[in-house]
Amino acid sequence: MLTFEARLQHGSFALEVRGELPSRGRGVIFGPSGAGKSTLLRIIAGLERGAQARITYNDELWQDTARRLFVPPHRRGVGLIFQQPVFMHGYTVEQVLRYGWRRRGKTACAFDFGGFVERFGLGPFLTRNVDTLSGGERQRVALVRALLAMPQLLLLDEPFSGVDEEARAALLQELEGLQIDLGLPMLYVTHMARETVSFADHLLLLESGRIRAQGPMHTLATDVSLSLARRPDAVVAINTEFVRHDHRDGVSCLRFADGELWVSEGYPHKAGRPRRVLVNARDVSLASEIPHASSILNVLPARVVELAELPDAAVVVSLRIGSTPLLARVSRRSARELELHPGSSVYAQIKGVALLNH
Amino acid sequence: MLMDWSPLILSLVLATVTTVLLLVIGIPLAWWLVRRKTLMRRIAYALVALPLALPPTVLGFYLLLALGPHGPLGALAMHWSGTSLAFTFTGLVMASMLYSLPLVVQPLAAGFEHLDRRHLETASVLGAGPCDRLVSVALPLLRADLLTGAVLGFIHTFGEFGVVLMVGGDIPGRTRVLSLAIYDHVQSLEYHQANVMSAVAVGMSFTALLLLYLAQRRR
Repeated sequence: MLTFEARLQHGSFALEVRGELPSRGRGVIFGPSGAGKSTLLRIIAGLERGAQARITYNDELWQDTARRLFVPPHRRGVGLIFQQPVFMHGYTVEQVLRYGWRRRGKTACAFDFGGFVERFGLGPFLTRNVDTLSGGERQRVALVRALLAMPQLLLLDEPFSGVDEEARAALLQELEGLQIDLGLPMLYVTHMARETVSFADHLLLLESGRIRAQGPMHTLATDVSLSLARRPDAVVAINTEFVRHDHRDGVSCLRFADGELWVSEGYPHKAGRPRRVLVNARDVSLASEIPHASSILNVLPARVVELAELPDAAVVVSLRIGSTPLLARVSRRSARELELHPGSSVYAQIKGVALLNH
Repeated sequence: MLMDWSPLILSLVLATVTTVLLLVIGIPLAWWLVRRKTLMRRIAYALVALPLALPPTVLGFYLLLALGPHGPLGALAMHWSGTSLAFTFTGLVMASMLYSLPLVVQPLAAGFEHLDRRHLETASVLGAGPCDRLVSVALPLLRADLLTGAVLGFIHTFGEFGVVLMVGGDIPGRTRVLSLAIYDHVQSLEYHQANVMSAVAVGMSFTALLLLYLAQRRR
């Protein structure tokens, strides 16, 4: 468990937070720009000497300003990936990677230097000058360098913000796979709802220097009183497994805890393979009866849990399909005509399901 | 007439020893001066720059008092070795270090100040402690400033006159450096010797500066 209590004044900006995150899995700090996300991450890493803080990680006390106790960053065993990685000019990729490897902590790891280089396909890059790398390559080198230092916790500060949308989704998937394979806890900072929902297990919502909410991602992402569910681009994640592919129609069947989803997807996968899919609240419409004939592939019975009016004549509806949470964004008029209220039974028609690349 | 080159050799040895020692203390001093902007460090910065502003004779006069048998440093040396530091090579080195301190520390302090902190932060989260960061990150990034400080410190020491005269006393073979020897030659109307030595001084200082600026231009 990572627990923190911190205060920091930077000019007119004040950060005052108290929270905790499990020291396993993938935590995300989500909030708008200027909310203090990076600052909080830096406080956890020990890079903000001016912060008044008490921080513990598992059974280690990292900082307690009241008792004048401060473990410096190099003894906390944290890795930190900056938004823009920096390298010493003229160094080769191998020199950069070895820098972390030579100073590695004692955390056990399944990979050694060669193993990491191979896993990330950096073999051909080892002799390259770091100044000649592209943005994506630089971030990959920075990530491997941090991993080679064998941290017990990896902090990532919007690491893929300089990468285009498609590459970002792929990198995020790779990061998730890595997290699972290494069992390395990660704490990821982002202002993008989509990244948050596709990556997080645990979530911490930060707004203007204060923690607005914290808890499991599925709970927070579908809480209609919180910003994440109220955004026009609100999205939920559903954990599924691939079941089968229908070659004739080019659609695939995915099973989740409470039913099945059909997705149009050209390429088959191994059965039983876990996939996380994203469903946009705007792509979910509601009906009081099962539609007679519809072009929509997925029509699932759902129960309304909660609903909230939004400023632009829209209503966000939090639903459960069995126990699986889902969001729908409908017009105020539709909500009235369907007589939606907590407990109503409806049919959720899911127009689009976004698969995350694997 | 045979030229006596021992003042030139003495000047070169003095400048080399002074520069090496100044780098050793100048690097941590410059780092400390700019790491935080407290009042005490601002005062220290001003003190470091002071030798630039003082007439060398003023500096030399106080150094003579400090290094002489009744001064604090001289008395300490008396206690240990039986002689004071005035009119000795050791005394010259100490005086030169003070005299050239700003020229070595100021480029380094400016370098540390403009150092991209992210390099140091990256190193620290990769497990590098403060000394490790200084050696593995800061110094390689400050190569140019180290070179500037070293060259300026060297030629400034090489060319000093007032301080070495006050503290060293112009003793042939022990404290008579090039600048003093030239002065003595002029006093004795030995213009040829003065001319040869001065030409050597001009040539060496110019070459050092030229190499420095050529190296800076390449970056």
